[in-house]
Formats: sequence, C-alpha cells, structure tokens
Amino acid sequence: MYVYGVVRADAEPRLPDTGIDGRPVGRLAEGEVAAVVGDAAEGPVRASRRNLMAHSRVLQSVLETPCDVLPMRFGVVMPDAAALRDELLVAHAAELAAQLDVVSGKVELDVTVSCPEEAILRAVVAGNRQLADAARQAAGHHQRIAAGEAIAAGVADYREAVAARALEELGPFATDAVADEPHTDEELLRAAFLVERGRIDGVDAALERLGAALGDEARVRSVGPVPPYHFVDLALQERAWA
Amino acid sequence: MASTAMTTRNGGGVMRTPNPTGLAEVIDLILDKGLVIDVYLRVSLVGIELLTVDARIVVASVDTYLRFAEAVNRLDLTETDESKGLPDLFGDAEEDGAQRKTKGALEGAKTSLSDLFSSSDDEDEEEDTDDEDEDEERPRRRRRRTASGDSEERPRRRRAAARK
Repeated sequence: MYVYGVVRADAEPRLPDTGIDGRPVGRLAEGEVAAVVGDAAEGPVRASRRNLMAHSRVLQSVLETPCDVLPMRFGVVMPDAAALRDELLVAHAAELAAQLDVVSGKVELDVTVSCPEEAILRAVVAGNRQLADAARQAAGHHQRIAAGEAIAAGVADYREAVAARALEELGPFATDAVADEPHTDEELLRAAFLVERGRIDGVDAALERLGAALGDEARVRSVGPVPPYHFVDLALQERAWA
Repeated sequence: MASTAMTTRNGGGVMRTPNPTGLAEVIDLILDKGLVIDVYLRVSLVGIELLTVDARIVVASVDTYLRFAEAVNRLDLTETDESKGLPDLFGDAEEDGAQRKTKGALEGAKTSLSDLFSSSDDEDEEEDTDDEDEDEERPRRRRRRTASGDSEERPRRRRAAARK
C-alpha cells in the first residue's frame, strides 16, 4: 500500500482518481488520523517523472481541499492495510496528531532568490574594495586562492545578508522557516516558510518588497502553497518492542 | 526552471508559481522532505539521472576560489552605475574583510532563521548525508536515523544521483 500522506480522520480531502502508477487513491482511517493511500505494485516505486508528479498532485489536491496534511516522502510502501494501521496510524498516533496540530491551517511557501554570479561578485566587491585589490594584485597560485577564498567568504556573508533581509520582510507573516543549502552558485537564498492560509497575500506583498529591495538583477521566486514538506521532515521510528 | 503557464510574473523580478509544476521543484520536495518510515521506504531511482542534471552541489573548493578571484579580476569596477545591480546589503562599505566569518551561508541563514522563530524544533533535523550517489542503479537503500540524532553537524546535501 502506497502512502501519500496523513490527514485527520474527520477530514474529507479531495482526492484525484489516480495516483502513482495510475492506480486509485483512497483513504484509510484509524482513531484520530487517516492515511491517504493507493494500491502499490510489487517492488520499489520507480521515481519516474510521472510517478513523482503523481505523488505531488495527490497531495496538492488534498491541500487545496482545503485540508491539513502531513506529506509523506516519495516512496513509502507498506505491506498491507493491517501494517498501515498498526505501524503507522496506531503506533504513531500521538506524533501524527501533534504534527497535524503544528501545521493546522498552514501551508508551505518555498522561496528562492537567485542572481547572476557576476552581479553577486560585483555587490560583494562593492562592499569591500580590498577584495578586488587582493584579486588584482595576487601573484601566484597561493595568493590567488587566498584572494578567492576571501571573496567566497564575502559571498557567504552576502547570502546571509539576503537571508536576513528576506526574514525581515517575510518573517512577520510566517510561523516558522527553514533554510536549505543553495543548489547553485547563483542562488542567494533557498528557504521554506510555514504560513497560515490567511496570510499568503501578506507573503506575496512581502516578496514584492524583497524583490524591489534586491534590485533588477535578482530573481525572487516562490512556489506554493505546497504541503508542509519542510516542516514534517522527520523519520518515524519502528517501535521497539523490548 | 522554465516558466510555465501557471507562472505569473510581476514587476520587480518576482515570480510566483502556485503549484510545483516543474519536476525539479517536485524532486526537491518529495525525494528529500516529508514524513518517512525508513523501513518502508522503497524507491527505485533508476531512470532519474536525466531529471537531476541541474542539481549542483555548491561546495567551497579551490576551484571555486580560483574562479572567484579570476571573475573579480575581470570585473570592470569603474562601472559605477548605482541604479543597477544588487544593493550593498551590509550598509557599511568599509567592513574589514578579515573580520568576516568564513562559515557557510546556510548555517548562518539557518541560525538566523531559527533564531527568529521561537518555535522549538530541536536542531537535530539534519538530513543524514547519504552516500547513495554511487548506487542509482539499485533501489534506494533504506535510511535510518538514530533517534537522538548524531550531534555531528553536517551540511544538508543535495542528492546528486546523476552526477557520477
């Protein structure tokens, strides 16, 4: 049985007809919580484009019901309904209910800020001309490395300053935030914000202000609302019997 | 990521995408994040290599340093059009380079982010740095995290199954 996510037992999430591998999607409740599930084929779940998008689509649909949901990571398959009940819904009933309370009425917005590398370096050097002088005067390999390392530190500081500015703008509208490591050298910020549904407009306005503050060359991008993937990022342990 | 029909572009370089319509953003979320029961995680990453090509791990390295030094050397600093480009966010233009911390941007960002919010997520949510990069041909190995989390600070690494 493929598991997409967990909702409250009394929720009535809107589910698409099909999910992973084109199979039907349903719901299985036990106590206070319910799992959004689908039939699963034998063997590992293939992380194909179609399947990845299907997992995401099922959870988007639930979120847009609107309905609170704890998204599972892609690829969690339990042997059968009994195992799903016993080892997920019963064994972790308290943790799941507590997590649902944490994200109650909230969604995740994922924000990235990126900028061409040259513009980043220009801004860093503008804040500290010595960095440029050191790069220019560097004689030999070691001095060039040292100059570059100082510039890299400046870039890291600049990223922190962007993160601080983003927090200043978006923080008041969010209840929690997590920063991820940038994926490319051009990324200045990659962060997820947990936001009450009613404050999404506030975040949008804050993003506009952030974009304006960062100038023409910076690109501010937000994806969402999405299920709170970053805020339920935890591994449930097997219950120890002994 | 290419813009899509769902994407709205407003002024000021801000783009909003209501749904994760691109595969890259979906991968970011669902392969790495979310609830998981380790013993029941069964993912085959076969065939995913093409999907993650754009995933680069940003690592500070000698190569990066040399590239930065070279790029800065090429910058035309006489071009001082203040209206263009990124602002100087430090406010203080004469900050001493030597005083600057050299720690990673993420750690800094993470600290400031979590500092701001009083919510008490205990800081052991660091992803384990899985070394499954080499075995993309096999089903993904089960991952297990110790309950208490090892206290080792490791940067959250992005999966780069395709890079090897």
